[in-house]
Amino acid sequence: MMVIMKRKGIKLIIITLVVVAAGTIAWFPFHKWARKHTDWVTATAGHPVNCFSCHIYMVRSGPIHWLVNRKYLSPFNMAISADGNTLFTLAQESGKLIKTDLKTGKKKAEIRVGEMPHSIVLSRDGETAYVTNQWSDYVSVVDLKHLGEIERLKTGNGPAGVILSPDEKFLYVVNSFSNDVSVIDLSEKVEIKRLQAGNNPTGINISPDGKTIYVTSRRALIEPYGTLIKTEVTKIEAEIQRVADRLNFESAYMMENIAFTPEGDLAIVTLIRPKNYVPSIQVERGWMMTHGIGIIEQGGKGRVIQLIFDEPNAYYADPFDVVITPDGKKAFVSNSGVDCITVISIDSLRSIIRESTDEELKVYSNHLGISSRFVLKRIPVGANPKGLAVSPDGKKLYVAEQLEDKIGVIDTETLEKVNSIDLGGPHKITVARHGRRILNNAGGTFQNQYSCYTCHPDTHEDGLIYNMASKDMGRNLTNTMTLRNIGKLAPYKWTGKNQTIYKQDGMRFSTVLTRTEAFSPKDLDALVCYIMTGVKNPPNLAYNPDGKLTPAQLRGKAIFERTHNNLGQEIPVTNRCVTCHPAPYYTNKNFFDVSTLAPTDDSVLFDTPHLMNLFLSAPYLHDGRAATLEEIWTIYGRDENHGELNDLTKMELNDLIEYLKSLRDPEYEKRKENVIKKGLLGIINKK
Amino acid sequence: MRRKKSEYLYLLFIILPLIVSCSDKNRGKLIITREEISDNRFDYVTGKTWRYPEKSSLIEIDITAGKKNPLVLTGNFYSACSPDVSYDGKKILFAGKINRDDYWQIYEMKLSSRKFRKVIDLPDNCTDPLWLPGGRILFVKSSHNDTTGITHNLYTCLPDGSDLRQVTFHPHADFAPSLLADGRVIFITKRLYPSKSSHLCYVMRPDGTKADKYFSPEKGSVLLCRARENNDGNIYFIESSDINGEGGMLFSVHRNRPLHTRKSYPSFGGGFRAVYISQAGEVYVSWKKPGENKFGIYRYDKTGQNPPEPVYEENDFKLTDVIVAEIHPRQKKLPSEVDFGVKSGQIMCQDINVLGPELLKGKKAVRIELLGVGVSLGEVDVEKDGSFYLKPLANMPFRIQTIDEKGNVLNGPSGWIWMRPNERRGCVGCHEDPELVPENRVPLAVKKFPVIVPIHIEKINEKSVELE
Amino acid sequence: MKKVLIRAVLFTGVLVLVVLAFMFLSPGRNGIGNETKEGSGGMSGSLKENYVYGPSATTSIKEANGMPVYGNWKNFTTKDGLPADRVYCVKIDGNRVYAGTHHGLAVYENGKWKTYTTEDGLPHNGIVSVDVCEATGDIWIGTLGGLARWSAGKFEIFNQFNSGLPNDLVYNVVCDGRDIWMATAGGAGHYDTYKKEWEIFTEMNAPMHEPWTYALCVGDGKVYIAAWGGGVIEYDKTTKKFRDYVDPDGFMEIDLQPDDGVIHDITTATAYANGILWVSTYFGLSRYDGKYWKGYFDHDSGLASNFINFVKVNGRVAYVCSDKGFSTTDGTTWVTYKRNEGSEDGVAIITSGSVRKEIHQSPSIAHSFVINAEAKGDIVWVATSKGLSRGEVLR
Repeated sequence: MMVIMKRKGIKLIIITLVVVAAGTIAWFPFHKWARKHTDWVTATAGHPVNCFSCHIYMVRSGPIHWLVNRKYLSPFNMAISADGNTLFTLAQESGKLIKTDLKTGKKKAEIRVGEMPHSIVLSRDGETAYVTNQWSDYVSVVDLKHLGEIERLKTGNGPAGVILSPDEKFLYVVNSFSNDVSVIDLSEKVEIKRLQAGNNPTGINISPDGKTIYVTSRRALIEPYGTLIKTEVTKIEAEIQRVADRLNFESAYMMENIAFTPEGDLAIVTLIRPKNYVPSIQVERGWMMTHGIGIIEQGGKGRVIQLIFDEPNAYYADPFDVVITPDGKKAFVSNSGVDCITVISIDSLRSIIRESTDEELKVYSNHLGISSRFVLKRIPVGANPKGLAVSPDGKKLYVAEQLEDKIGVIDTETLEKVNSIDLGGPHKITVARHGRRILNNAGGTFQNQYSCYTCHPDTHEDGLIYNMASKDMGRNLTNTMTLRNIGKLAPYKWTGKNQTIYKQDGMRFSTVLTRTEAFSPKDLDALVCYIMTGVKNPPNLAYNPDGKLTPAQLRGKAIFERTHNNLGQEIPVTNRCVTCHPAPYYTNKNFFDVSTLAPTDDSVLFDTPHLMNLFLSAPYLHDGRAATLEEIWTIYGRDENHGELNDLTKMELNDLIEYLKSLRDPEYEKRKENVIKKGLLGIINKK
Repeated sequence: MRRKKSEYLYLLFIILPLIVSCSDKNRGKLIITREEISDNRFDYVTGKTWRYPEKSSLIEIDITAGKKNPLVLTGNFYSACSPDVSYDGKKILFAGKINRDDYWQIYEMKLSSRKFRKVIDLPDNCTDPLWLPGGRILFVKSSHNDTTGITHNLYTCLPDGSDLRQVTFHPHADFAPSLLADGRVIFITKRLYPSKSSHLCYVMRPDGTKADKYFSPEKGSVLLCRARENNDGNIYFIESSDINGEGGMLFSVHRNRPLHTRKSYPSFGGGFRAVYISQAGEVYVSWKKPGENKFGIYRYDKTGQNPPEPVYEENDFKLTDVIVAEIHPRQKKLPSEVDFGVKSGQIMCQDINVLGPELLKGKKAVRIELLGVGVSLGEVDVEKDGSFYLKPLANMPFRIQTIDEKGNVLNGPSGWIWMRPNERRGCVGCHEDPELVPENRVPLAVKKFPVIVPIHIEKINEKSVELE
Repeated sequence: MKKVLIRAVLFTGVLVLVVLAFMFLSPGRNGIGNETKEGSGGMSGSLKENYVYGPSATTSIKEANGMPVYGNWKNFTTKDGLPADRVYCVKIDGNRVYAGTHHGLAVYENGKWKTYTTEDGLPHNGIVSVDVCEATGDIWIGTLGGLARWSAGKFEIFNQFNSGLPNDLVYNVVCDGRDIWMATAGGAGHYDTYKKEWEIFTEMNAPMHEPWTYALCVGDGKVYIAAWGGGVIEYDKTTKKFRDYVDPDGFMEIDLQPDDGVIHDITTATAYANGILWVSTYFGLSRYDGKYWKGYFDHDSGLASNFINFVKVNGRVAYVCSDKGFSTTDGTTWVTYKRNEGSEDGVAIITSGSVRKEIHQSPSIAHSFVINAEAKGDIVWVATSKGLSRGEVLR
């Protein structure tokens, strides 16, 4: 019997050895070919061979895409009922409002709202919720008793932050794409006026006395390179519904949200202080980004103060939301880039402001030590914390963990995370989702100083011009480019020097930009997968909601596609708009010299950029020198090397620009019906 | 039944090698530096008796085993010290010399077999080896020249000793390097030229770039051992106010803000010589009891509630250093911007008149002078906004002093600075508050080409690197 | 009996028709009492504020037939804080008054003038037109170097290089709710502040003689453009269709056939209120009620001069700015203000048919060369080539 056993065992061992030997023999030539293939596809040397990375995970549609990907919820902002028993969460990716019982932690209902819901406000009686839908250009009026959308209120482009007037007669909606605030009369259900705000405004809040409304902006005002960075907080006088002041936050941007102390003496805003004018030669000592808060004194000198909450060797990237406890003692800030909540002592802020001269406060805005005077604690939470909400009794803080599909619950006394509410999203973290986490996390930069998101908010671009310090410092100024739907648009960078995102985000990227350990092959695979497949453009509801062009846009299209100038002379093929910018992405992905190189640029050709949602990408040209589309030709295109357009009348140039503003992501040509249903036209059709 | 047994045999054949490869025989073993008891004083310039203890040896103690018989690892050596454990916990690097008159060299030993090999063979003393995340080895090497006398600088090489590269270039005595979790090297340094300074703790990238002060001990005090970082971000070190004293106090700073988070721990009347934190967070110290001159190895209670708990002591020897041979996580592997095709570095200062919050006012400097070792490298005018932009030859130590319009020296000279090939770095001001970040503005100096240092050189023929 | 009944019914019917006709044709037909909505200088677009020409603005001088007669003039020059004596335009905005000069925008508030120039962010110091968006409170400023939006202390510049503005010579700007209309040397322009879209109207797409436009006004869903050499161009905002009103006599400087249309094709301004369009030219003033044109000249009316720089309207009263004085009229009664040569005094001349009354005024308006004016309630501001005048209705 033992003999038989031995024989069986020996047989199995021999079979295994034969299989291993055969596999090894076959493996060598295959691996040699696969190695070459991988190096070619990734434009890198030595990225591990993994067929699945490209041939499974990066499939953009069809059954394989459906199999390997999941539909996540991505909670963004929240509101709590007055009794503190119910939490209403906006799930951005699923376009739903989720009702959760806070006693049981159980989900009670899901209500379909618009595309990319952004913010929510509840009526005092708790019967109505107003939800802004950033990609649908309307506010969903939700009946919380019958749990359904009962009305759609038309807004400007990209509705984001929202508040109700104290008497609940008016709704103030921040239009993040059209840069204004819609004032909606709720009795008539119509927009009565639109107030100009800053650049890419999002957050809004009203003072406890109901007299002052502040609107924060994310992008700096567009000014020539080298001009002091200024980002606006718009002050609205609630009584007359007019803009009363425009506060400039100097050297700061990305002011996502704002909160008032219950006493109304301070308004606190989250912000980032970028160093885009400083040559990007090091990360140490806060030479790339610093993060903190801005304070607007309501009384006293009415000063605008900035305090950074980073530390000399630790940075707290991408502050998003700020909330203050009802007792006015603590403020909480969600640091989306480092998965933590910063706890701030309001009294400490008051004493710093009280005891400091204006000169000292200016120094503190650049001082990594000041945080030790007002930061109480950093509380770790789930991936990518965004919106915050404090319970009415002030005992609990709820954190929307966007890339966790959960709500973190923090005890505001012990300052510990005590619970986590699962919103019911998929538990499996797909490769693309992992990539999205990497893109949103600052762990990939030295001392967590910034994330990809910092310069590419919402995977778009921050509108700044950076001194990339090529060759010598002060050379190669570069305007940040969007990451939206660029999967098919290789090569990358304005010079097109990176043939793939693998190369763009590879070793050189870590050497000269992130200055920490390069992404692991697994993380790089995931990051590339997300950028190649998961980043969408918003619909162009402002200028092209349904693919039907206006008469001006049609005239502009004819100019864009023209072959002869107004004098009847043929335009050389290489100097026609449509030659380099053909549909569907409006780029031929070729290199060309449009003679807009600056003396400080290396002598290179330009990689023709795509023109999708061009209206959201100011400033223009590779170094952002053109503040508007008009300037590309009225100031910087006089030599006719960037299209032959000098024969155009001003009317014709306006038509061309109207057409350029109408260009959108080809994805929406396929999804036209969907856009019509959910978009602005949906409201019109409905009415 | 038969089938089952055969399957077991098969599984055993497959799994056994895995089990063998995964086992960690060294878990919980302490590698201790044992020295003869003597009254030798430390020499912080040459490192004698401090970094080069005569007749020292490395022993291994298994604290998990009841019996604590020391296993002498370096029996073949006249002297051995400064061990560092590999990330897999299986090997150690150490400094040693087999014969009394040999130079101290760097050796590698496999703990399981105690087989060792010489990593480098140089005509200078070398000590304090360290494994770098990228696989290279960093160590301290002595050198001598008539101007500065004996100096010690940090070098790196490949595991086989080839590709030797110097990474610190100032006329200092650099010793006792260790690694921070963010991938940077932290080490003790003492300026030797033109005058001797007290100890400082420096931090830099392993390629020698971005060298900077990390923290400094109390005035006139010395640092006795390698700094050790705990998982909670606290960095422990031993400091002695008595220059010649062997025992010191245990301190920690937090990595996030090292200049302002100094915390001391009770010594219980004794003195500390070295500290090490295991992956489990246990603090092992080399400590001597009050009144004794003999150090033993103790487990230290971080709360400071209880006196050190003995782990291992010897009557005839002092135990001056301890590490734990265990698997430990690799620190960040920082990329290197150093390019040997380039012969210079670049440094930009935003405003030499920014001197930190407490010194905002004062005379304005209009010029800087660059001082080399025993020679002036020239003077450079600063821009109206106080900025300057230099292109110094790589690996050349220099200092900067600021000068007002009357030619008087206002500030400086600064500490020694060097630029690695193709390194770029910046500073906010001159002797500025190190916690100050730059103002977001375009310095006027970078609108021009950098000034080559020494200024008598007009052109450097070097490779042009596009960094963007 | 039957006949009586029929007569009674007919009489009642006629009565009802008369009442209805009155209701539809009366100034207050928008149903807000006697409030009237008018459309000159950007007064249109306001749903809240209407300029009342009622009891508060009447005068006790019987010859004026209810027309306001202004006096108690207070004149402002550089001595009083104006940046320049030549004032191109004036605009009343609540407690503030804006005066456009060649050396910047002067703002009068709490009895003091403050001047804003290019150093404060204006595109050009030559300020030729100002209007206020009643909904947002934003001030829109037409300059000789572009258009500016002045909102909460911040100037935003639009010019022909950075925007769709037709031309940098912006002679007139008018706020019309969400729309901003402008008359420029490169055509009339329209800017939709919601959609951020520009439109340009020139001889290429409108019945104009050339792109040069001097002024425009908005009223009852239409825009009336004073086009150089093109008469008046009417643009219907709903149908987006044009209609032009030109002088049947062409470029003849005399009006051969009286009241046959607009007096001359070279028009300098338009003003619309209560269904009446007023058109100023360098050869007289025209009035159009939607059916008939009526011309006014210095020789057959109380008009100060045929050379008219600008016309504005407030309710049923037109404010006519000419090179020889400042005239106000409702079409029948005229009140004209002139300054005596070499004196600070002047005269207010009331003309109504054959009735003529002169009232000595001391002081008078700052100068007889009047460029622009703005009236609100009992107050009128008059921009002249030698200063700015503030007058109030005489009781």
